[in-house]
Amino acid sequence: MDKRLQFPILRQLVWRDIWLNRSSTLVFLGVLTGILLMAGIITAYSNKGFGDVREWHLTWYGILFFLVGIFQTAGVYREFKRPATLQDYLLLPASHLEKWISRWLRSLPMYLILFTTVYTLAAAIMNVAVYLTHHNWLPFFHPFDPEIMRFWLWFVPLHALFLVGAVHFNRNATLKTILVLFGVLVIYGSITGGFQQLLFRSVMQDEHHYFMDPEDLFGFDPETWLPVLKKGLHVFLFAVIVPFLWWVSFLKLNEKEV
Amino acid sequence: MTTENMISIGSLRFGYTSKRVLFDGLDLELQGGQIYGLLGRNGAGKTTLLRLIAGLLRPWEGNIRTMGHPAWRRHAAMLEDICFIPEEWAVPDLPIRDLPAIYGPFYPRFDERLFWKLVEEFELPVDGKVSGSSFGQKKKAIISFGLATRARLLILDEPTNGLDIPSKSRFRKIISSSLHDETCMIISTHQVRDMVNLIDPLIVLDQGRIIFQQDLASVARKLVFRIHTGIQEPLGVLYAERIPGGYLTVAENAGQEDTDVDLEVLFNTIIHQPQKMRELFQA
Repeated sequence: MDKRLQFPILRQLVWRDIWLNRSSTLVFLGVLTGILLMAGIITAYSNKGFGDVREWHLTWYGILFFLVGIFQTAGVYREFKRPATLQDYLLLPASHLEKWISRWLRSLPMYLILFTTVYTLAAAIMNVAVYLTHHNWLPFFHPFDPEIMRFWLWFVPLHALFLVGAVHFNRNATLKTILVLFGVLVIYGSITGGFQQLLFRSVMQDEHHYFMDPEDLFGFDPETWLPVLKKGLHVFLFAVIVPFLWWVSFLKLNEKEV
Repeated sequence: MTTENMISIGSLRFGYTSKRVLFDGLDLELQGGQIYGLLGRNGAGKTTLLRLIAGLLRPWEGNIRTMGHPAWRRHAAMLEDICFIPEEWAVPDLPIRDLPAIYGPFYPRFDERLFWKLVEEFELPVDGKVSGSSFGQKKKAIISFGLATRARLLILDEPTNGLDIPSKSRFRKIISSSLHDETCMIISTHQVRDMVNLIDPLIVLDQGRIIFQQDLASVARKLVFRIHTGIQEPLGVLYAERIPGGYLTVAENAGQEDTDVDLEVLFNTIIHQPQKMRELFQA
């Protein structure tokens, strides 16, 4: 595999992507601003009103950020839909690594910055609109709220997963990735559930008691080991699973054929 | 890197399904300074072979080296040196004037002056979007850009489809003037009459096998192309094709006659008489 990394070529790939997608990006920005304006005005007119504005923004930001993020990541290799555009992309004189990094940059850091900037601006416009209609100044949206930053963090594993789907599936990558994920979870659930039944049946209180008390099983307090387990799983997810999925998407790009 | 082995294919095995193997043990070597004409019937494997050479498909077995690089690896150094104009291609949603700025930097030898010269020669509108142009205009824009990349390997699949008559002759002129010792061109086409005085040598692919690979000088030495008038089919010829008022024929050139090679009739002779042609050209 070609791992050449030349900054001018990488910059050109990013620039080419921005330039060729400028119309769809502008449409996306307009739609996002429109949705937020509509949501803000409807909320202002509703009986409940905004209530906690921070909570309101966290909900809307969270929903839109993850939803748009998933769709844009799964569609980051949109040219794979048609053999002619796929061919054009594969023959572009850049290494696999340069091509992969350019799309990684576009679908993760650039998306994150663009979305948050647009949301912040749209929220400011919404504040003005609410003031003009209700003479009520809402607190401004704070893009560096710790909860918002948690969203960014939790988008990373999703991004890695949907990036694999984007490279692997030529069409309908979002739907197919969700279906595969669902299938994997069903299989995983069935296997672990089956093992649980086989191994720990005797420990269970009765046949209707499907969830075991960990203290009965291991003889120590879950209060002590659950945080450790949670932290371990986080480390495993971000240090092993995410880089592994990125690596898989890179390998899949290397193997892509027309 | 010598000009001698621009493309080297050894024991290639490839197919789209395990039941239908397209190439089984194909060998081919192509050198610089030539414009190869790749001919074959529909489904013979021409486009697949071109895609394999460009690294767009992975061979099952065997190896393909394109300008010294394993084609399937698609090294950037190889891609910089390839201009592949397929039969169906994607045109960017850009005006022609933006093509050099967006795509030019990927090609280290991109010649912007040549690009504008070709655009002018093909009479292309500079400000109109390539994607909004007619099929022929799009093709001319892609060809202009492709030649301006100064790639050493040019792969053209049905390049004259969609071109009007003046553009076809301009195309021939431009292509022949772009040939250098360091350049190798492969033109796959069904429109052989558009390629007269351009393609040489000729490669004929049939059912995944190369059944003919000769330069036109050898063809002219060994075959004679005539027009026979009258309604009776001529005897003692390799191939005869009915035309209004007579027949076009191909026969062995026993008397060292010098006739012009008719590519279309030659192709039909190769397809209809593969065994005889093989014996004749091996002798």
